[in-house]
Amino acid sequence: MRNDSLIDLCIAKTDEELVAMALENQDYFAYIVERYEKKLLSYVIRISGLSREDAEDVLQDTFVKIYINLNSFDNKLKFSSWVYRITHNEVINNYRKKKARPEKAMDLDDEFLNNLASDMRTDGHADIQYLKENVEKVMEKMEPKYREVLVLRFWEDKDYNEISDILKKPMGTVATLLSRAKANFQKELESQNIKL
Amino acid sequence: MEKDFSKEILEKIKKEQIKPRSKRYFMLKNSVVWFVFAMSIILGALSFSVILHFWEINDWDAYYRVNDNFLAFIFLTMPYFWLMCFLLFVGVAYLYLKHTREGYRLEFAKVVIWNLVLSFVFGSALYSVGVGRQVENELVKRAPLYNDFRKNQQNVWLRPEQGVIIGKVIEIAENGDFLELNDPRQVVWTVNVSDTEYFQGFVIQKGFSIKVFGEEGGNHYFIAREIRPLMKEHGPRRMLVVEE
Repeated sequence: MRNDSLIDLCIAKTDEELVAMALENQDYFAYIVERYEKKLLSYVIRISGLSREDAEDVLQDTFVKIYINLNSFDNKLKFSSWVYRITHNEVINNYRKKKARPEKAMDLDDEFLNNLASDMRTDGHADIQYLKENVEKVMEKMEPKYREVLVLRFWEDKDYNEISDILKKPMGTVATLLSRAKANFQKELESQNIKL
Repeated sequence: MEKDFSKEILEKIKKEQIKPRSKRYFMLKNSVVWFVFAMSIILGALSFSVILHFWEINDWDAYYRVNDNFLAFIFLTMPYFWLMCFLLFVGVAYLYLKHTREGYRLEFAKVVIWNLVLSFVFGSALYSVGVGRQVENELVKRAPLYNDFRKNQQNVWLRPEQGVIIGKVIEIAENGDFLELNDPRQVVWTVNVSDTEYFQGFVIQKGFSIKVFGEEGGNHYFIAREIRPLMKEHGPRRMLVVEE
């Protein structure tokens, strides 16, 4: 079924249309996977610190869960928020199953570093390499709940509403969590004598 | 990605014959959540109506017979069982409301306040039509464990040295000046009722459970100054007593 015209057709479809199509014919679910696999894989790695291989296992389970629960997707929600939510839950399930959280350097990209640095009102003179090395250190030391909210806000570029839908927390709680995460980040920077 | 991830997942889905759960499954799940929420609100309201009933029948004016400190009296006579039920159901309602599809968007304080308001409003309505009293009376009659618990709670009023005793009337003298009262510890009291007031026209009969205010005369003799039913009836002050 995967000929070029079909691929083009699916690319033009919205997430919601693809969901309806996948419910009719499971082959269309492949297009949903293709659309989200890269984003979700890096999200899993960023919030969990898992190796790529382990993250792929988590992601496979995540997509199976997404497929099983396709009928529970509510159009009032953004589909991306819904899949991020399932991914977030699956990462937590994975923590619980393994009862250990592997620590690994995060692969920070320039966009994330620039977003974070500008939000922290730094002077903007720090170079990307310097930021990368030091922000990685700080992020690894942060509690997962703070790390995740920073990743969602500054890396995944999600707004408060989307973060609220992903983490299933009220908007006020998201705002508090984010502000605490930033304060925590700042404190950690100071304790490590890092200047952004 | 090096490998064809979508292909792998699709193969897994096909191989393991994984199917999406039906819409009906999710509708049913959602309905169960709303049902438990509604039941918790109703049971919370019911508990609140019984709390109001206890509030009404408590002998607030005689607190000093139990404890000189009014606050201590409140703690001694508080309907803990129903308070715990009320808090439990408000808690369950909170949890289930948060588990509805969009419940997570509601702030904690708002959810708790709304749950409390709903329980207060429905609870007051139930109390006003006498449901609180009925629930309490039915439980006393039908649930032996609850009945024992209630009896223990009433024992707070068994303080002869402070001028109050409770018990069941087992005998009334022919001239009406004396009666015999069996207290919850199975001590039989001779009560002089020749110079006593009866609370709001209360007429005692053999078998009634009563509360007697007065003075201890020694050797299980008690001089009554006021007699009340052990439990007052809800609504217009028509006095009845609940059998022990």
